[in-house]
Amino acid sequence: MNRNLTIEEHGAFRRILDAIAHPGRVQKLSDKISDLDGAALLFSRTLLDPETGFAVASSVRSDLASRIERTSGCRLVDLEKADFVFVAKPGTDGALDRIRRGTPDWPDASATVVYLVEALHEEGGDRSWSGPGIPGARFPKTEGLDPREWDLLGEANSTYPLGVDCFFLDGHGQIMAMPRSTRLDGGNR
Amino acid sequence: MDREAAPRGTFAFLDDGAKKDVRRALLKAVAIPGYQVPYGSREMPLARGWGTGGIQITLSLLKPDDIVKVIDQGCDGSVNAVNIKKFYERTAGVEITTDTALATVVQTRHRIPEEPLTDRQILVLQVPYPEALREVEPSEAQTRRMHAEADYARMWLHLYEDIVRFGEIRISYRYPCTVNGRHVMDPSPIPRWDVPKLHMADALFLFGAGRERRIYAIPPHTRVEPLEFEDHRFRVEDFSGKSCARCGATDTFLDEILMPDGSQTHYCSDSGHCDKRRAGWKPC
Repeated sequence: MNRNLTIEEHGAFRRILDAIAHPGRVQKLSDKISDLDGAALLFSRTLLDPETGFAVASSVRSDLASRIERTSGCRLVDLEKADFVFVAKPGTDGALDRIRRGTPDWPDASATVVYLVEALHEEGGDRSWSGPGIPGARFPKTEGLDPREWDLLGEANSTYPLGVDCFFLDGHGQIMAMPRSTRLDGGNR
Repeated sequence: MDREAAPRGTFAFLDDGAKKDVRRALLKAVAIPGYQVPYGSREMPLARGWGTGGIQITLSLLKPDDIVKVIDQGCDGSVNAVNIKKFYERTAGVEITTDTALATVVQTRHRIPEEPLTDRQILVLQVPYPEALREVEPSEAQTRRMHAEADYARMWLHLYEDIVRFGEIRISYRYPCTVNGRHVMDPSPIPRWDVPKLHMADALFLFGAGRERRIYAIPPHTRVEPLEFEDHRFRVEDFSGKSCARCGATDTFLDEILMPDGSQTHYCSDSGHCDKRRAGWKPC
């Protein structure tokens, strides 16, 4: 394994960990990457391997899916079995219902959803995010995601600790996260 | 060590598969604060029970530009802490410090530093026994069910029996806490003194139990509440009237030392903090 690639993945993991520890905070996944495909591939390389199954929902380009498969060595599986689900615009279109949310005994046996969006902003959103990792509230804004997806996520995460954890990657190579512990309020203002 | 001289071999020792396994567990652990996530603990160049859980977490997230502090019972100079530091220096080329404020990653056994941590720091705790409910229930299947149903009645009963028998809750280390209002968690064998430092903190806390292959976490700004009764509140250790014989501190966790003449003296348990204060630094 190339040592520089390994070090790059270590750096990326720290940003990924920071993102989920501070939901709604937006940062670059890597200082060297400023596009969506680059971010998606680095994210995959850092976390996915032959032990993990991934699936794509909606309009994720098939060439990107096969590159994710090749660079990380993970297996393409059915949506219901996936550990990681990649979603492109406009959203899961209701398929979120079929994604694993864990069981009462094993809430961690759930899928992580990776939304590939146009742009992420730390402010300007119309929903308030609160919960662990958030002092008070944050109002992040996501461009290029169907607003109805938030209601589906709220529903998927309504029986904590069951649920799905989400990462968002954007066209500037930025990352943001929303774990299942985040509470969403508002959205109809 | 010359940090420009790239160490040979795999960066941060562990193979990719092991790191990714730990990383995926860490993300789940942060997403479900206080819940113990299983992971496939690997063989390490030291025996389980010597901090392998903490070491595997640290190795999975180190970056070459990290500054690492390793403490054992509050002390930077113990044999175990020194060996772990050498291991990180050799395999990841990181810088080592004893100054909490300078560290980006702090790995610790049984203490949380006295100096408050910031949101740019990660504290990795070594955990011998991850299951808080093991005291009251030996069966793993049963404790898993209790967590699933948030059924903590027997833990409460256990604490109540302590009060009936001794007039107080007699747990001095590993005081059980409720995290994010949902999961009861073992904070590892830190003294009571350190438990309030977990509540609504700025830093991220990661807990690794190598023997039992469990990882759990407390994100920043998360509620961590020690189990207590209305009429028997959680209390930290009382050091009133005592101070550190080295630095004079009256606001730190003190170790009691019995002198040859039978008298008692006290020293700060956090040696790095004590040294800093002796060098003239004043806490804010």
